[in-house]
Amino acid sequence: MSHALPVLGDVLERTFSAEVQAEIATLIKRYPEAKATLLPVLRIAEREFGSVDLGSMKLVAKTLDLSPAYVLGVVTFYFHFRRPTDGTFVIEVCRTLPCALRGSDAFAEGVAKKLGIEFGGTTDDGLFTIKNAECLAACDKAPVCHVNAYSWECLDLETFGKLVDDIRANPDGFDLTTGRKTPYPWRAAADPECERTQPEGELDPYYTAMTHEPVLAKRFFNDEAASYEAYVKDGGYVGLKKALKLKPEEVIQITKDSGLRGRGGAGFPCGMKWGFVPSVEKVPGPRYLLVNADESEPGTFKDIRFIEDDPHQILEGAVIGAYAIGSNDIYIYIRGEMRIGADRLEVAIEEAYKNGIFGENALGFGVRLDCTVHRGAGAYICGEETGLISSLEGKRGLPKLKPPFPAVEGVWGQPTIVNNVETLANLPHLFREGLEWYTAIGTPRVSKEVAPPRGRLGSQGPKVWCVSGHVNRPGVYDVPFGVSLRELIESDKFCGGVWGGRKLKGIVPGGSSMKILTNDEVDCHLCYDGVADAGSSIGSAAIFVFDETTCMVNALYNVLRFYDHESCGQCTPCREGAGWITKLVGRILHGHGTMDDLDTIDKLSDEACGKTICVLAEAWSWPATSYMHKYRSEFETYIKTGTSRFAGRLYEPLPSLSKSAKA
Amino acid sequence: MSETTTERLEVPFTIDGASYTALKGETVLEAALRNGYFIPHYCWHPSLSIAGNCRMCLVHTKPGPPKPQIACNTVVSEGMEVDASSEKTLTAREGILEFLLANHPLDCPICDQAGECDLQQYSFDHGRTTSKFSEIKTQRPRHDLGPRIRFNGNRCILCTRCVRFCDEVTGTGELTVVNRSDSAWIDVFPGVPLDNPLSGCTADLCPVGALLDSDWIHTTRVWLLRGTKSVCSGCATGCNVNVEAFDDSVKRMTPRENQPVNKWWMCDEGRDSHREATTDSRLNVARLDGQPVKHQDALEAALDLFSATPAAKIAYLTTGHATCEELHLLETITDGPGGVNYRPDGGAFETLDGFKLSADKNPNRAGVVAVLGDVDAGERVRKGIESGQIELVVVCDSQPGGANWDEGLVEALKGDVKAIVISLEDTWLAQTKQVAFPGLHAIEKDGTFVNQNGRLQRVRAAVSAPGDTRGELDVLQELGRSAGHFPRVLSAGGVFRRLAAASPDAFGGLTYRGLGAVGLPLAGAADQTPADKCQTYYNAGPVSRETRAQDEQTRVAVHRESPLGYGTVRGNV
Ligand SMILES: Cc1cc2nc3c(=O)[nH]c(=O)nc-3n(C[C@H](O)[C@H](O)[C@H](O)COP(=O)(O)O)c2cc1C
Ligand code: SF4
Ligand code: SF4
Ligand code: SF4
Ligand code: FES
Ligand code: FES
Repeated sequence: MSHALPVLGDVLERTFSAEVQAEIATLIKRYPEAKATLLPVLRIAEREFGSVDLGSMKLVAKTLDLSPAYVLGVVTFYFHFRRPTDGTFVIEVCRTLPCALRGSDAFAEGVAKKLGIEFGGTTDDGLFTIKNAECLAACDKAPVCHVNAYSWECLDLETFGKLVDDIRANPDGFDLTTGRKTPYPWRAAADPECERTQPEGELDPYYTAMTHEPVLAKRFFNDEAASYEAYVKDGGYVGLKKALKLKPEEVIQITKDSGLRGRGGAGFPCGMKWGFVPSVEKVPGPRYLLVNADESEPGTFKDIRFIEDDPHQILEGAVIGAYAIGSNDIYIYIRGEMRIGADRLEVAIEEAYKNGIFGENALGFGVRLDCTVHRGAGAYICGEETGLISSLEGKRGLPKLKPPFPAVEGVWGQPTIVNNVETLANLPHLFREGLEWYTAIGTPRVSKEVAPPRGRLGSQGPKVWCVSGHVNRPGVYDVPFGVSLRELIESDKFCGGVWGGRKLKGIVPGGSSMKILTNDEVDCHLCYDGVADAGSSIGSAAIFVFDETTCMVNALYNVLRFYDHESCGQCTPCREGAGWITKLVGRILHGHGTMDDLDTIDKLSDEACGKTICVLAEAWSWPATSYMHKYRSEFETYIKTGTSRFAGRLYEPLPSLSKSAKA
Repeated sequence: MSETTTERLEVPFTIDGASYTALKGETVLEAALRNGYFIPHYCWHPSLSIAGNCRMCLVHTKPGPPKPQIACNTVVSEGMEVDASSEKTLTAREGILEFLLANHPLDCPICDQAGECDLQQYSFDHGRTTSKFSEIKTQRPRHDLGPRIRFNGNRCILCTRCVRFCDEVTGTGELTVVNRSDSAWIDVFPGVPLDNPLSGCTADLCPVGALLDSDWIHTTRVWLLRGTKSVCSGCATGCNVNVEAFDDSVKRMTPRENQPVNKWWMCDEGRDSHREATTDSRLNVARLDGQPVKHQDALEAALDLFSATPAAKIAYLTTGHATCEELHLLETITDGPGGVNYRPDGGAFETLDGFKLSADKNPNRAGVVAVLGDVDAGERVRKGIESGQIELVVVCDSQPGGANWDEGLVEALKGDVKAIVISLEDTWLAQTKQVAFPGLHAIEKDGTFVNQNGRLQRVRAAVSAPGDTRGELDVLQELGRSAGHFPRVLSAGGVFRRLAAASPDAFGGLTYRGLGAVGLPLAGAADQTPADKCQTYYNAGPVSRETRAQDEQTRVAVHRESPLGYGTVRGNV
């Protein structure tokens, strides 16, 4: 791990041209504070000067009336700005666990060999720089890389070699946008036209409506984003019109009644969260609706589909949300790495402005409604809602202390609601089709009197799942809550079983921060309560699968490395604990572990959990303790022998990997 | 904090079963500290925004969630039960300390903070004796952040006090956290160093040895330092300071809290002001006609001169650095006119929290007005000399660098007029006039200054003066005694009693005892804060520095009650 400042160049004297200054002035108008434009203006500097170096930082500081040190602090918090030493083409290879489970490590080695440089280095001709990336929300299409933030998917070394050669042959004219792999390789199979019948006997609340046409995913997997017209043709913006006929309180009530729970990870009831926004009498001033499009939890690649393929679904939901909480400003905070997504969102927003959904007289209501895309810059923690708020405010993306809660005092000190992309995408359907239709999907809410697992909030509404790792058909599945986890993985209608006919070892059901479920535990229902009862959580609905050959020590190290790198570093237990536990597991991996280390994993997790500002400490503690306890003998063997059954490798590659990936 | 206390309602609550009251809206940490219950903390400081990042102040509260809450961001509610010392709270605290020490170098033996380090202190109070950590420690850089502040990244606990100070108090924003996770550290933008007028305060705020004042670093172990509560003589703000000395030499000056005067701060120039006492140009022997002589010889000559001249023919000249006591003596023993020289204005600075570093570089200009009333810069003295009216001038010049007298006055002084000079510096007057005595710097003398807002505050001798220096009070009183003004030589406090009796309008009712550590306002002063409202429950500097300083203060003091008592006498006073 390097502990130096990235090379930031010299403090060159730089200036923005008059046009760029005008561009910045327009940008500033979209925010209540000029400081909020810091990330976008740094992007402009990156575009103008080729990288974010000290000179551009100084200029940006002057432009926005900030101290240069402040800008330096912000720039070094984010990892996605181009550095002065970067080559023309920055290739970021995803090395995070779901990709690693599908061969990204070997791929990365090959990439380095092909270019003749190490990771972090730049080729002599100044054309290519290779960097390690973290989950790029394309885990189902691993190995993947980004080339100047354009996604290249389902790669093998042959394709990559050709890519490099093509770029070398035509560096100026090469079209980087062609690397996205659509249509989806196994889309047809994934389309769940599954006729699910009620099991015999007693009515099981988990199995209500399993016959399911894709709802959320209806327009996914096309080569381009669904246009406004295409969206409207499918019944788009009808839900919005219906919602607008109701009073905001009624919209909130219906949302509460719908049982819609946040799809960002925490699963908090959406309508209830909206209800926390205080009345204008109590807290005057603007309200903000922030769309959390920062999707970066390893293994998650559902939000990107909404963003890239069906952005109007997000916009419609966001407008309903804005109406409910009385907001005139929607900001969509999108991950810096999602360049295509940001472009497509911009286009969709433009269409929406043209069609009167946004603007000074939005929806003919005589009120202003604006929507702005705000690009992040490479920091996982900005997906945490208060980290997102800090980042949007133009700060280092540090999660904030709670209280105050964002609903009362959020971005720029005003009431703020942060909602995940998918949460909002549920709303058009809810309001178009009505409560009855909506609540019939998924598992029902059973009254509080009924004992768990049935007596909880239930899991209602449509849902998409991201499945990756060692399965035959990884991908995004629009399958209602309640399906059994094992069925999703093993059924031919869905993922088609563990690859290579191997046995299942474990499944992480909700993104890499969630506890792993062993083969014995995966016969649970895939819904909030069902997975909770199994001892984990559906989190961000990122399901990744380990086959029997997977080395848990190796897998854990990969996960911990991610959280160590992504800890914002402000609070003691997470900053120090993440580094500590990562070094410790790394030491075991290198054959220098001791049995005491296993206790230390427990103690560290215990000492960090519940004592931090945000829950990132849990995000590294949960995998650490669950992998270690559930596969303890494997850890012990590793410590005793200094290696694993597979010589320390993450898993035993399939002989026919490339074939199956292209099937 | 303190301003609105009167309007605030009181909220009863308990800590570890004992009842306390909090003010409405107060956090558990504030309320605890104000009530004298100490909860360990690093990142919280009353003048800074709540960062809540160190997690040292964890407590359990009822009502409250099962997990511990940080006391610095938890508002006390009525009837709240705070558990600050149960097994589970202490275990949580131990855990935090173990994390803090994981990558910490533990180089206390060579760390200048050792002895006043909150990490050391809390580890001693709450830490574990062993650590589970057996990894390689993360290395972070060491560098100078500015001309006086040195950063040691390995010791930094990333509490961000220093960053918030530069953002929220000075508003200069030189510091930032760079990078993230455990590879983060504190840095400046290349070419924009930490050099605001209050940069030294960052080292005081730093709870550990990560920021150190390079002016002081590597000179003394802090437990050897003896602190004296005094006032800085650098400007008319009159910052309350601890003058910290070892082996009779001042090693550093650190601020003491006095809300209306200097809050918790002091400026960098003030920190360096003790260096004025150790310049080569100081006068450290008495002179007779320019030649070095024994004090007694010079004194005899001075007494002869003084008693041979009628009081009406004696004028005096002094500076804005003279104490009220010296001013009073000068006025008493002479009947001729007086003149006062002031240092020219220097840099002013105002912090966002209202600390005003004065442009007026004279610590006692307001004292001159209070004691002497209307005086000029020496105009009347010059006229007196030129007209032959004045035959002897008593010059009392404690201005560092020497007073810069008006040109006309200099010409007049260069003539036949006689002079008895008491001077900090070996000025031309000291070298050419009849008698000269070495004077004292503010760190060497007792007395009072009146600051820009009319607060009368005590300066106290922290170290002895070089050579055979008796100082202004002594020489002036000897002169006055010879003319029958006083029966005996008094201490500074004695002289002050005379002053208070002589000028009851300004000084009536004031005594040294009453002035205490934070001073009192003169009648009609702009700053009317009573003594008990000057200090909050929070001290400047690391918590452990204050506890150490308090111990020193009761144990050790410096006093010079009689002319024979020169030098530092240590003992209980
Ligand atoms: C460390 C961390 C990372 C997170 N990352 C994301 C993310 O990338 N996308 C997201 O929508 N929510 C993320 N969340 C959850 C958000 O904090 C928040 O709960 C969510 O955006 C709320 O929206 P919802 O109620 O609609 O789910 C993250 C939370 C944590 C603690
Ligand atoms: S828990 Fe970790 S990521 Fe969250 S605020 Fe603390 S240091 Fe930052
Ligand atoms: S900062 Fe404190 S604990 Fe650390 S080396 Fe210095 S004195 Fe010791
Ligand atoms: S240098 Fe000191 S004050 Fe600044 S963050 Fe580090 S420990 Fe805190
Ligand atoms: S894209 Fe590589 S892990 Fe998700
Ligand atoms: S003092 Fe409360 S968290 Fe630092």
